[in-house]
Amino acid sequence: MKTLPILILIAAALGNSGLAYAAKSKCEFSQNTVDDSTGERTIQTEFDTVTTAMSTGESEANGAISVLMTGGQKYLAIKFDATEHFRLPDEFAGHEDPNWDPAYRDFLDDLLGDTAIFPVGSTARLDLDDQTSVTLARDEHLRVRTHYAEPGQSVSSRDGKTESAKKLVGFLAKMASTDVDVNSDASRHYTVATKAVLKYPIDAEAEDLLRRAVVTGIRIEARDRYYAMTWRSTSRQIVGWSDKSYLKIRDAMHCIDEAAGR
Amino acid sequence: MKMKTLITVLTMALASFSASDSWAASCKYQWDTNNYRTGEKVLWSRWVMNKRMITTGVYGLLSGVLEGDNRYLALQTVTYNEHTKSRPTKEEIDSAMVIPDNAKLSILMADGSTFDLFAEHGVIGDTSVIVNGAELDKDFQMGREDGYTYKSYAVVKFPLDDAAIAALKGQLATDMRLHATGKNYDISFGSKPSDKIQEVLACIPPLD
Repeated sequence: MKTLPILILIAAALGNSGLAYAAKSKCEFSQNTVDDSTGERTIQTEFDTVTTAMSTGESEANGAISVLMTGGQKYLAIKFDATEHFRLPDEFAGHEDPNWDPAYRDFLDDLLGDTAIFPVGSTARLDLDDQTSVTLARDEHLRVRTHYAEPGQSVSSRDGKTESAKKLVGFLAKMASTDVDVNSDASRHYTVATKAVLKYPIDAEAEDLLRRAVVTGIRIEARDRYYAMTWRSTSRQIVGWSDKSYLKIRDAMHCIDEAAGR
Repeated sequence: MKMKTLITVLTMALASFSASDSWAASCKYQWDTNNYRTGEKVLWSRWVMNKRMITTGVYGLLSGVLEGDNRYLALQTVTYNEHTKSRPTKEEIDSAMVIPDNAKLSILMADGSTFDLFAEHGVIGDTSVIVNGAELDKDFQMGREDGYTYKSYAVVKFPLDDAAIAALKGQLATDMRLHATGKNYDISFGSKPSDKIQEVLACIPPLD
């Protein structure tokens, strides 16, 4: 009977160690098709989550990765879900209903239009544990749809997230500071949620590194901002890149090779 | 006679067991790997933090680094000290923390002298934007003014040679100033001279 708590402790310890992660024995694909006209084959692994569930909201992104191969070219695909906050400009703060002010509509248009444009050449920087990085660059332009919530509302109620998710964020906010009335402060801010699926061509050097290196985080560049999936050693961030996520990239590469018959 | 010899030997042993030796025995490493491109050994000691500086909004963390045959003092700076009313543009984000090539780190030593190190490569810090009251970051929620705060992060490596290591191990330090583009970052070790630089330097293994 005494051994049960010990076993639980050992299992918990393993959960935080490298032993807990086993390479995928079975590869799963979201796409595996051949174009009838060109004969080109497209294979994509299922997205695998690479971040912890909690978010600071500080332009941090919760994300997942997959590897796509089409026409013989491999891509790293990154799916992320980020929430950002924007302060209501002073000039509109006193308005009872600023919707009637054209300048206010311009502010909203800018807010939404600026947040999620990923031009050709914009990068994803993958940080490695040897303290170097590898940079991938986009080969196509992408604008994604964003969702926003006005002050006092939450994006989660607009885009269908669960009440429990909202409560978790509220709880974490209160945990972060007992001095600040989060609800009151938050009521002065817009919240913009961005969901995107981005793909980056992988060249030979990057492919070699992604098979061998320990990736410690990804920084995604958009036209007007950055999104980060990272775990910084300042110990000040509660969101992060999961320790073993680099293995998921290796797994995805391996699965693509296997499916491609290499 | 035998007792006298024993005491002499013990005294000599204690004298040779310097503080840095005791640190070296307990060194832990943040990163212990090889450079994936060159195959060189990469060893970064655990970050050691200076005193928290609420007034300047600058945190400084130090690491002793070995990369191949090169030794470095690495400085990680994290700052919260910019405020704007409107959300910063990308250009403003990219220029929030720029540490140029050959940037100088001035270390004020306990005897009042200054020892300078120079960065191997420049760094553009990663900056994220925080909105007061809407984010879950503990550090900035300290009664900052309403608006946006920049949180910038950079790691800069300063090459060390034998002379620099000897000089830095020779005495305690009180303050550091990182000379960046457009601004300087002042990092204090607190009210008393500190041995934190010696602590991380002791974790750099000797060259073969």
